[in-house]
Amino acid sequence: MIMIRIFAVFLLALQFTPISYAAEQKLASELSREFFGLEPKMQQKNVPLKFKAESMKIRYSSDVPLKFSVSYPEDRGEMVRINPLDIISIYAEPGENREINVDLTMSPAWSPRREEYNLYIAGEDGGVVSLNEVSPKSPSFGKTVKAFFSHLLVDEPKLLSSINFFYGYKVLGVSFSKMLGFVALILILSKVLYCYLFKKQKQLFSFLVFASFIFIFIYDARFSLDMIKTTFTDLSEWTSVHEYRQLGPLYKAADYLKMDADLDKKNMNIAMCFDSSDIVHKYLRYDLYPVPVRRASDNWKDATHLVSLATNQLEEEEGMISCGDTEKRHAIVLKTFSKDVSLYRFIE
Amino acid sequence: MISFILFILSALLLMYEGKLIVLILAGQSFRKCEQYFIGFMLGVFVNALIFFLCIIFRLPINFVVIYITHILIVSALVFVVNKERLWFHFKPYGSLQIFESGGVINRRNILMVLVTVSIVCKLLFSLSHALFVPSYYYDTLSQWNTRAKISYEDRQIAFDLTEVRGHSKPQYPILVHSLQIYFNQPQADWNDHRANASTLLLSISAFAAFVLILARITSPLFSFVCLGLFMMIPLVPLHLSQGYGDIHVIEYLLVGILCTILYIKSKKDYRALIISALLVAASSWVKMDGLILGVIPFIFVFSFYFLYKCRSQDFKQMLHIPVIAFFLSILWPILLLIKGLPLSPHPEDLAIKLHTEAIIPIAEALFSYGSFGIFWFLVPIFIIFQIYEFSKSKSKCDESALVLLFGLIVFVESLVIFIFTPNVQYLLNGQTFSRTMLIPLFIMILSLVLFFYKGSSSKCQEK
Repeated sequence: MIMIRIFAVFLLALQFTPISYAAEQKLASELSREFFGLEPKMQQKNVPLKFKAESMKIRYSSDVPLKFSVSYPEDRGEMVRINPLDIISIYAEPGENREINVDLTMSPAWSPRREEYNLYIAGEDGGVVSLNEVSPKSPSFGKTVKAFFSHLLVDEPKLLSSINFFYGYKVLGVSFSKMLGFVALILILSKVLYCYLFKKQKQLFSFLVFASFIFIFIYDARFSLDMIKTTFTDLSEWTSVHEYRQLGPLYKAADYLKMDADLDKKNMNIAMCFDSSDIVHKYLRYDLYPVPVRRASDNWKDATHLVSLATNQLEEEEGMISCGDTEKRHAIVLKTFSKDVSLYRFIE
Repeated sequence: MISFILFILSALLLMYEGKLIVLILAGQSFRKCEQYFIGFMLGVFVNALIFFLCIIFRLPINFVVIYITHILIVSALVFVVNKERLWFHFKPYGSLQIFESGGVINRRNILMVLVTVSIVCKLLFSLSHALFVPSYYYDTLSQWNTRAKISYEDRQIAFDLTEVRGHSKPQYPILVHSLQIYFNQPQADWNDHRANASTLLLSISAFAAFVLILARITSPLFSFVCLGLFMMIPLVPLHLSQGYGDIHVIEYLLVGILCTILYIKSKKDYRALIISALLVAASSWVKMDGLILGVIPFIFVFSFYFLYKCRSQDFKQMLHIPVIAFFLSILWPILLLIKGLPLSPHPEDLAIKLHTEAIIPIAEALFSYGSFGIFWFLVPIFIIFQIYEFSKSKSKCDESALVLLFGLIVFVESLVIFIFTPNVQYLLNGQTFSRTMLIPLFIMILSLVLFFYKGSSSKCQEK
């Protein structure tokens, strides 16, 4: 059953003047360091768009709040790839014939040559939504130049996978390292050719070193800036709220459990109820060892405590809780942290 | 405060122990400060071997066993040093001509400032992330710090095959784990920051040794710029703070290679080569990568060079260097076999088949993604230039050529691993390829620095 009904795509404009407002637009890579909180259950529809544009106006009517997202598909022969970090999102208010403006240049995947976008419209179950009009604005030279510099300022996302590889900076849809590397290569090869053709090889050695350093320093300057920003952001987040990147309030939860473990040393056994990646499980297992920490499905009956992390699996009713398919058990809330993280103690 | 003092004392014990080993084996080949920094690296290796013996003899890993063993070793070494002092007659190996400014290096001060700023930024990141924020990455929280903590609590090295307690790869060698346990041993409880600080200390010590030795082989400027170039590889600062072991494999290899070059340059104390063999062997105690991408190419390049250069009498003398490296590096795999454990956590590793789907992701990882900045654009160009210059010169087998050969072997080996074995999956999911490619990149950069130093110093001499 389709819960969201998108009545019309590109319908004619309604008779009355649309209500236009500036909704805040966010880039996924800038949100990537945040703890994966509980996402409300939403139904989603996808509208492929084909046009060259720097921005687009979306006119819609909806009786529920909406989340508009735009992704930038890359055609790779046999498959289409979408980098989730490049997606931009806008939360829009419900209303009749409302209008939002989406700045497509915000994402580093944007380029003036791009012709394909995917628009996702997500809203609560049962909402009635109509997309009345999507009108693109053609890319201008000025906006492209502005986008070039604003893309350079988009930081490298700090992800759990960053220890394995960096996605790298992207400018106008092209990898910055590739762009800089090719410019360096062309420059160096031209000079090599020149020196060999005109027998001026003595200059070559100095030039090669000098040019390479310039290009390496350009990339490094951008990256060093990122490192400094990350250092201060991480330290200030950790010292002020005792939270850290994608693991958010997990550290506070672990500290609280350690305190409880000191009071009740015997037989502490922790179950975890979570939907996200198992990094949260790895962290608690490490930090609390030798206290056993297992997935709820593995030690539900023996557990003395439960850690619930931003999950839709947890069901709570009259002092009884369950996680997924487990039996219901009596438990009390020990502590609740931000972003849907809670600690329970079983009382039977 | 007490915790900090205990940390420093523990570090000094390892450093002194290793320094005595350096002094006995090749004291006159290294300057005092070099002896201490290499000493720390060797002390860490000795510590791993002590843990290894604890596994063999089923001794508990606790403060008394570990520290008493270290103290006994130090006492024995002090005794040997006092006897050995009489033998030393080699003069310290003098420093090479300091690089004269000229050409590009006229901008020496600007270069120094830029490199310093870059290094400071990365150090700030690494120090803060090792000492102040908690461990964060997947394998840090499973195969590295978690295994060390479990072993610390259990008083024996953990060999779990399932991830119930948190780690599941008993094949991982124990140098990093034993280092983290060693520094936590005198303290009441396990401390995550202390564990990460100990590995950062190993990195600092290794890079200090590297810079000092390279400064003697080339010049302080070249050495400092080489360090700067390493720090400009974007993945490096992250690995210095809470690494996956890869950076320590590199550190041991780099200093090991430099010790070999030091010998080649001085032609005096061949015992410096034993230090080289120990350091290269130590890399295989960090990760198995050290055996495949470190020890094996080392033995190959080393044998190639000495077969090419030495008289048969010298070669016999040299033969025990690769033997030491090989023997020390296979101890851990032998233990695994005795314990009935597979050598690799991925038993399907030997299913050889061409994976054509690997080609584009390899190109993307090297050139498009941000792990290496623009290094893989420039390094191949310079290597072609370097090979071209070798082909023109009369002496084709200098030290930069040897290091280049080492780097190229490691590069090809790494590509073969990811193109021809099921390890292609770790390329496609981005897990290990870029980390592995750090090893050949570091070695190639070192080779280029040696090559450019040679080029610039010969230019200076011409002038």
